[in-house]
Amino acid sequence: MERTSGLADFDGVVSEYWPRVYRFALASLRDKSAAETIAQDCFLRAWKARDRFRGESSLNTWLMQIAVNLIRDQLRSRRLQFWKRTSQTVDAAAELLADKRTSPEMSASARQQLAAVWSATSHLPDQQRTVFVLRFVEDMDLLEIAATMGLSEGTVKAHLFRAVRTVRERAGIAAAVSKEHRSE
Amino acid sequence: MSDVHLNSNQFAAWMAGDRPAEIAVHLDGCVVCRAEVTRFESAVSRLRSSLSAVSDAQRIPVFRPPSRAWGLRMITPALGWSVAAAVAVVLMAVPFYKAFEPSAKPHSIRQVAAADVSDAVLFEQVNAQLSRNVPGAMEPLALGSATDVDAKATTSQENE
Ligand SMILES: [Zn+2]
Repeated sequence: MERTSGLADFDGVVSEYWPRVYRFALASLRDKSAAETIAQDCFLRAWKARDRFRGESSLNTWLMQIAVNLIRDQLRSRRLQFWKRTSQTVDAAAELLADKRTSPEMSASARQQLAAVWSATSHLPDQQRTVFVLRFVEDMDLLEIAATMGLSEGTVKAHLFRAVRTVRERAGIAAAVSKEHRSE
Repeated sequence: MSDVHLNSNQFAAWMAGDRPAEIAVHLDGCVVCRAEVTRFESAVSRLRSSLSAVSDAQRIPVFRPPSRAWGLRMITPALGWSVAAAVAVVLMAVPFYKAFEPSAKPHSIRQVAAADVSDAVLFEQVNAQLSRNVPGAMEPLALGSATDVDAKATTSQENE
């Protein structure tokens, strides 16, 4: 599946990678319908460019590269229409994640923390959020992220560092420790 | 264990993949900082599993090799509903179109254009066609058939 020949079974590629591409788009755009469109476009582009896939990177990295570019374009065009943007889609996505049906076993406090992290990532600059999502949601290592985003490993690390710091502070993960710091 | 816990930068660097020995040693011996790392890790892990639950619940579209660029789009439920709605609107519009469609329009309008008549004449002819246009059910009561009307329109143009 990881080599050019893997693309011969494109149906199989779609079945295997659709959930990942969709999840990444959902985490980046926070909108189910936009995520679906991005996933479709991603696979259409991959299909059209399948002859150019040489297997130098993994299929996952290659698809994520396409998705990253599509999402970047989407975010740019959203910014141009900033007056139309509301927090509606963000709220809808937050509700979706915190929905008991999505995660029935989760406690109320865990749900609250999830909502806090989700909200914190919405405040990240685009590149920081992309790195954060690729690292912690897509479980990619720094080199894979660098290849996917066309950045150096050092730049990826710097984005991740800033993203973690912001999420930790905004999501209140540091709060309990800070109190203990002060008491010591 | 050091008296000073990890600060924000040290914590972020650790989570970003830096593994300096002194931080590793501190984390080994400090329950508080280790709890913070665990808390962060479980928060992002929850984020991952929630997003996965949503993405796994998505129906994966069947891929049809797109000779047309919209192959994939054709089969998603959202687009299916949009197409169905568009078809319904068109179908609902057909009776209205039929009701207002001038029976002799294609023939006579083409002739009018060919004859390059003035706007006034064209206007008169269109008016005449509209006044001739009666509901289908009443057609037997109208004056003459569509063919007669066309013939009359042709004759009147030729006379002009
Ligand atoms: Zn500590």
